[in-house]
Amino acid sequence: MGFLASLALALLECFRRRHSEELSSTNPAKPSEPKTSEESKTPIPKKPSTFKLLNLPWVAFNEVVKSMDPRDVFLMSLCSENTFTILKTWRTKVKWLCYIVDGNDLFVDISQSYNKNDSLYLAGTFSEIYEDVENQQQLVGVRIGGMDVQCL
Amino acid sequence: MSVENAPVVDVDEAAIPVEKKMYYRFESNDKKEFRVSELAIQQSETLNRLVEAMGYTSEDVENKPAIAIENIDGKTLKLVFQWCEHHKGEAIPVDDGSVPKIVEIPEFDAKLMDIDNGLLFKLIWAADYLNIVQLLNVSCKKVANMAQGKTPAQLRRVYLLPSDEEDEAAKRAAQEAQDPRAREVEEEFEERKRQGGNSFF
Repeated sequence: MGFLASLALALLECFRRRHSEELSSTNPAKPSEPKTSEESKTPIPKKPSTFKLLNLPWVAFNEVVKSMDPRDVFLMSLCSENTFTILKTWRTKVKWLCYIVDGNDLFVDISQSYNKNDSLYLAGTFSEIYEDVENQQQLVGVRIGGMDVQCL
Repeated sequence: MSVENAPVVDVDEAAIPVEKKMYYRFESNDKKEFRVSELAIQQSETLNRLVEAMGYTSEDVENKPAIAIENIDGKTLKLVFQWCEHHKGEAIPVDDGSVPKIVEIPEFDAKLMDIDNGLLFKLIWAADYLNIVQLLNVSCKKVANMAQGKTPAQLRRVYLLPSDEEDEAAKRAAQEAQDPRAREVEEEFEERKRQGGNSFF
């Protein structure tokens, strides 16, 4: 019961934040100072930061996975069959696991303990996924524990 | 007893044995030379064992050529030795088996690792090769932190993880490269299939 209450609070907080962001985005921009010639130039698009994780030596790869949050390990296992095969050896016992199924979406939250920060993380996750759905990203079919599910 | 009343003892400074700091010389694969203290070397299990096995004296270090580290470049080796010098004398951590591993990145390490991901990759590779446990821990933690709050699609982009289709294509290409006859057999099979033949052989 306590969990449901904190989850509801977290969701409310999430929607409040979204609403405030929308309001701030619709506010008219302040009159800006005249741009200098350098500022008026089109900004160079920043190259996304990438890292060849699978090319690391096995010991180093293990260290990276060991240092990762179990939630991130789980999400990485959804990237491809190859990552799933590699990461399935990393099965670890967790004390707190939450599956939320909403239509075609599956949300999973994993933690060693339940605390307030977990619900805040959930709120963040909901917000991100909600935005992805708005951007009409396609759902991808994956298999979890032998079952077909749809994930973003 | 007050400070003024404390007995004054004359000390013959020349009689005290002054511990001379021992330095080793290393050379990267692009011929850049580094002088590293003995204490800093102890952070690397590989280098520590190497210098122990070589049994160099101070004179040997100066007279003999620098120890070559063939597969690490100067830029990476500079970062490695900077890290070792800063953390010299610190205890080497032991893995307690906790998952997720709790690693804190100190300010100095964070600044040292404020580099592009290509160099970070080389740094991790060097830390693994030279068996520098704590450097490997902090650098791997930095890579693990890149995954925080990302969706599977974003993780695929950040870590350059190939999709199932890309994996399949790479596997096919590798098979074809290994056996050039395989493609010919496949084409022949497709041709026969088009002609309506049921059996291939």
